[in-house]
Amino acid sequence: MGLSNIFDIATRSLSVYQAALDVTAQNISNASNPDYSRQRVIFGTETPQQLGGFIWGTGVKLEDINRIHNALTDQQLRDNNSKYSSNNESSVLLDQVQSVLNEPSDQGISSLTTAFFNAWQQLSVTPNSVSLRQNVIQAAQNLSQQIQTVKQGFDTIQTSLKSSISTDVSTINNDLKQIQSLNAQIFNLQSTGQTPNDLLDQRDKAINDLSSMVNINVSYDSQNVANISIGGVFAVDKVTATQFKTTLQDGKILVSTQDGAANVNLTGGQLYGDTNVYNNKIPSYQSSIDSFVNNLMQSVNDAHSSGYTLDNPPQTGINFFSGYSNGALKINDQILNDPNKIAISSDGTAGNGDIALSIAGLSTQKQADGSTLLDKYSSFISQIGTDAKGASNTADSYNLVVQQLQQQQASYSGVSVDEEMTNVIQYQKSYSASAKLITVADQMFQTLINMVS
Amino acid sequence: MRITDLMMTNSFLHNLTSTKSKVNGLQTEIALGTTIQKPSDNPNGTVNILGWNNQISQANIIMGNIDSGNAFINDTTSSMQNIQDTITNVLSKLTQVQNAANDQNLSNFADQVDSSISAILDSANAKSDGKYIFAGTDFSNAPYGYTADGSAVEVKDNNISGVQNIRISPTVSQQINLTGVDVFGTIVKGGGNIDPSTAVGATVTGQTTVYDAKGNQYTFKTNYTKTAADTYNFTYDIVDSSNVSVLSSPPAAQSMVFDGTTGSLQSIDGKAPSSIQINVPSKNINFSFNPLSISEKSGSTSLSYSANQKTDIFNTLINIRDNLKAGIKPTTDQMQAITDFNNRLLNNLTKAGNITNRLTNAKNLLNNKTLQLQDLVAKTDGVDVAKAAVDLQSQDNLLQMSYQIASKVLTQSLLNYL
Repeated sequence: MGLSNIFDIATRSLSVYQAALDVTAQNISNASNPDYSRQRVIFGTETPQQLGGFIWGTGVKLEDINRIHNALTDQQLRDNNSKYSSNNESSVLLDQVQSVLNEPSDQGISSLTTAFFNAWQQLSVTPNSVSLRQNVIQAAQNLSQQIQTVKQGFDTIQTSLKSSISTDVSTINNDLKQIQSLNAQIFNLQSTGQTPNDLLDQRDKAINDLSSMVNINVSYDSQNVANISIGGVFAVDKVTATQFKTTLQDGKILVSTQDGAANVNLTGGQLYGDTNVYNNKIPSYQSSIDSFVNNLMQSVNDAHSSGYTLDNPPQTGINFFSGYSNGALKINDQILNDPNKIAISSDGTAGNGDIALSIAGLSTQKQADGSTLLDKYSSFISQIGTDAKGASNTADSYNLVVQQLQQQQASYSGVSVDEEMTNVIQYQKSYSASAKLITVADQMFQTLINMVS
Repeated sequence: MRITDLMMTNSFLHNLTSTKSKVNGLQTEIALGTTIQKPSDNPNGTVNILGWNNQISQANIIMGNIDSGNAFINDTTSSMQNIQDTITNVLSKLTQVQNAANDQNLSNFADQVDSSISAILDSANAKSDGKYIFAGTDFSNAPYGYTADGSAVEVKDNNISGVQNIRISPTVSQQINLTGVDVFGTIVKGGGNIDPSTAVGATVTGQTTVYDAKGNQYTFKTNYTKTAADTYNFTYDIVDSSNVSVLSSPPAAQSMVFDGTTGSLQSIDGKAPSSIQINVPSKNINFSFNPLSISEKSGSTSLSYSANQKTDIFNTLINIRDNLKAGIKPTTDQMQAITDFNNRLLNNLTKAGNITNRLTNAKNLLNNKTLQLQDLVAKTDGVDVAKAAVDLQSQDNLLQMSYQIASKVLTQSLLNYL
């Protein structure tokens, strides 16, 4: 062995520890990057040499730079993130639905319906009072206006959702393109034996983003290419990124492939939250309101049409409401133009308010199923409250799971500045020692040279 | 477990958000004074709140109605008391008339009776809140007035038997008026049974004596012709002592339907059954025929009729006045008729008192119910401000502590010691 071997070992060591410090620097600089997976330098000993019957070490080498990553946590995080996103989106949207309904308040349909029946109650005491008849009309108009406001509110949410769903699908399409591109780059680099850690981080981030948008299924092949399907439909590999579109069918928004060959079965993610509220929740709520209003209109009209107006001669067979469609509950124009057309007398005399009493009594009258009109409306409000609370609680619950999984991920893959600084000190010392070794070798050479000269 | 900087940051932010969310919730509750701002805050509580608030609102309206009803029945009572004062005065005067010392002053007494008739007529046509008190449900005209020739008082084409009902609870109604028929009218009440096995097309008859304002007798004849099961066409006629009809034209048949199970009268001409007003202005005959007690029951047909009085107070007094002017003193029957009317008035005053009591009790019940409901609303939706303020302070302390800890811990690393 010659002295030059010391130079070789020390030089190699300097190079390895410099690289280790580079990796540490990369880790430290990404300490606050939530999508970054820390990297670890794997040191190894160089291949020894055999000389003079001994095996001589040749120093240290850089075996690999590992990306610290837990695939199981990633998968759990994606699954739970998808469920959290759908429930959180539903919770936000159902909060908007609740705002539209404005319950419980003086301006909600419940209070205004009671005010409507109360107006009839008041009119029954003084049936010939024109001002009380005007009160009935006013109360009916207030109720009608609120019913229409709710319908418009639902329409506004649906219009906004339609646009939001379209944007969601565009985002998904972009994510898929990005993942396809990253898959291709990762495949190429890995084919040449390189470790594309940062590209893997970028792809994980894109997949995580995708999982928050929609329910996905991810599998990796032997070349570490991510193959993803969305709701049972192939979405991306290293060659192809399927593009999706939305279509409106029977009032429902469907997500399908661009060619329309396959529909996506949505079960999670923000897109599911959006489409579920658009396709199922709001139509169901509007249907409940329609049923309530139709029952109210029918019951009031049945009673009203049997009564006599305040005209001379009294008229009968007049409906109070002329119709209900598309959220508009219309009051009979004859009544709007002439309050005396309100027919509340059962015998044609002006002081008879029996029909007004009957109509007022509808508020407490039990129907075939044993519940009153307002009981049904209250049940409907309770259903919305339960839906919203359920979505909110489920979202909170999944959020906790996601938080815990993120903590696990951060614990496993995150950067600890303390740890990295310790590594810095360690690598710096090793680097300094290697440099010192060169100095010592140099001095040894000088000693030899001095002996010769 | 490795603790990384990102973990500490995330954990701090999560806890900070959670505490701030609680602070925000408490602040909103204190500011609005309610714990339920939207249904999802408490779905069951929301349903209860909606129901209770609706009941409170309804109770407030009903209490307002009861106040109106009370005002109406008070005016009714006041009018009847005025009439009773007048009747008492008339009875006193007519007693004086019996004294032979007053034989020279019968014309003066006639004037006083005339003035009493006017006073009673005024009270009979009194209004409350724009409504004729004794006009039933027909407020178009004053219910009582003189005939065209001024010889008698008649009902002016009004349905004075109409009943005004108001709701005194969400499910219970209460009559708030005493009808003209109740107070002044002659009521011929029908009773007894019609045999349901009566053949279709067969006619069941019944009759009773009625009187005109001058006490002349007539016969009120009723016919019930069966047209279908439980259904009869009702017609009537009024004939004089020569069996000649005094009606200018036969009245239209009215369809009476009886309940097939209970046998009680179910409807007249498709409407709820009520008294039928019968007027013959040319003969000063007016009375109400009340068929409500007639029923269709198995057994032989037997109809019975009874009248609460022979004739009405107005025309009795008019007859007395006219007789006094002619120097004829009132008969014992006439004096008895006035006394009977007075007794009837007392009964009606008692009825009015009962209605007032019923309304007052109903209002008290509603008041109590409203208070209970308001208490329930407060317990479900109300904010315990003291507790909320303490909770808010506690959460604020936690928030401050989080900030302090964050400022001490999050900024530290090995770097600080190198």
